[in-house]
Amino acid sequence: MNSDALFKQIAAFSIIVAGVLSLAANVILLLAVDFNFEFLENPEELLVAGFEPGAVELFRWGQVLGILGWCLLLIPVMLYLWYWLGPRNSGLMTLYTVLGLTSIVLCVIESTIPASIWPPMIAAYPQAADVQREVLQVIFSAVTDFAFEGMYALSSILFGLWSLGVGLVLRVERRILGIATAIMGAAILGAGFGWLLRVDPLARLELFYFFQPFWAIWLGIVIWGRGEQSEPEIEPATAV
Amino acid sequence: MNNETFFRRIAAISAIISAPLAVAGLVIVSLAVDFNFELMSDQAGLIALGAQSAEFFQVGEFLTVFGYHLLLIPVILYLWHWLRPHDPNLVNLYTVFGLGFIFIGVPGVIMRANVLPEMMRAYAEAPSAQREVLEVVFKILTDMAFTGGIEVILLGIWWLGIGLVLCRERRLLGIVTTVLGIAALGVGVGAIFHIEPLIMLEGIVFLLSPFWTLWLGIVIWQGTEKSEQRVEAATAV
Repeated sequence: MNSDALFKQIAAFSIIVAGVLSLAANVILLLAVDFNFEFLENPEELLVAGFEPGAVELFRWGQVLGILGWCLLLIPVMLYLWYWLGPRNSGLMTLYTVLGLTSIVLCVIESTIPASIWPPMIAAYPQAADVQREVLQVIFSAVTDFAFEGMYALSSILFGLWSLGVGLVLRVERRILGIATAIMGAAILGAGFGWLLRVDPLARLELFYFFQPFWAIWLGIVIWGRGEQSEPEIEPATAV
Repeated sequence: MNNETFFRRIAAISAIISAPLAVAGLVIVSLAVDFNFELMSDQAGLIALGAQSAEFFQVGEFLTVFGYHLLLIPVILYLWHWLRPHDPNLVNLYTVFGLGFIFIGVPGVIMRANVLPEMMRAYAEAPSAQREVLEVVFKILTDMAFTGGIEVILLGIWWLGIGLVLCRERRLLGIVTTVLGIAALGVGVGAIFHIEPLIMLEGIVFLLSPFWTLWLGIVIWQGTEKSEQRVEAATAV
């Protein structure tokens, strides 16, 4: 197997695993908050209500799987799509790829905050005196706003731009997948602006994130299949 | 319109839009601190500015993240694409510094836009016992948010390097870019070593920067067809 084929397989494997892990992360996080969506929308209520016994570990694992599935495991596929689609759209694909990688940086920071800062604060809250509780609430709100209204919003805007741009370029090679990627990108871009500008109906477009795991698995299968078809064409050319 | 032209236009429009957003952000943040810029390094004074200043501060910083950071990404990449044929290795290196400025800068600005205003609002309503704790936390977070020195050094290296290469294509714009780069490097070194006269350059650099991006945006919009043709001819050989 040459390095091109290995690169394709790493990208395909990563994105399929990313799809599975992000699906698992979504389910585990919902289990951790007992399927109470209110807690995910208003985390301040979670600070006051606290976790059920054992749910803290579940929550932490959900976030850790999320960091892998929502963020880090997308890096190989972003670079692979740049490599695949770049030759015909050099400047534009480079731009989309840098926007995508920037979104990963912001996504990691945003996902690390609930994983690392929420559990100790939620654990400390019931034991704190009234005055301390009010201070904890202020700090919790400030840090949560930083994560969601700031980092999550900008990460969504940049990831949406990446998906939209790459989807439009991918459409030439894989029409349906390209269009689906572009539609998902436009929706996530809208959701990002909704969070940033606090426009609730627009922010609800984030529900398209639930589509992301299935899109990731689909893209992984396409990349894996493409590898098998293209290798024979590439290998004789590179062997000359 | 081919892909090259589309990319060029995205870069030009981003640069042109970034200029008014950056100026608006700068003006609104200045209004938040009532044009008393010493407050930016005086955390006890900054947290006590009140709820209305917090609103201004938040809006201003959000405009800043687009005006001074995110909308520069297409510009940084277009300059890389445009100038790389002159000196591929060095232009690659300068571009990494430019993108480093974005990566380090954005989280700091977002923290200033979200965390600090939230605490300023809470401080206004808090009793004195809470205020002392809030001041300590605010100081820690402010120190994290103002990553000034390193961020500006990365910007300075990018400006300086790209400016020197840009001189071969657009002499005057290249010289101005280089001068901005030297000034930004001075600000960064001043911030790290607490050299007050150098830190004073910060206002000038960030005030001139939007006009530079506007100028660059116009230059990019007007086209680099001649050099693109030269590049295409050179790469076709």
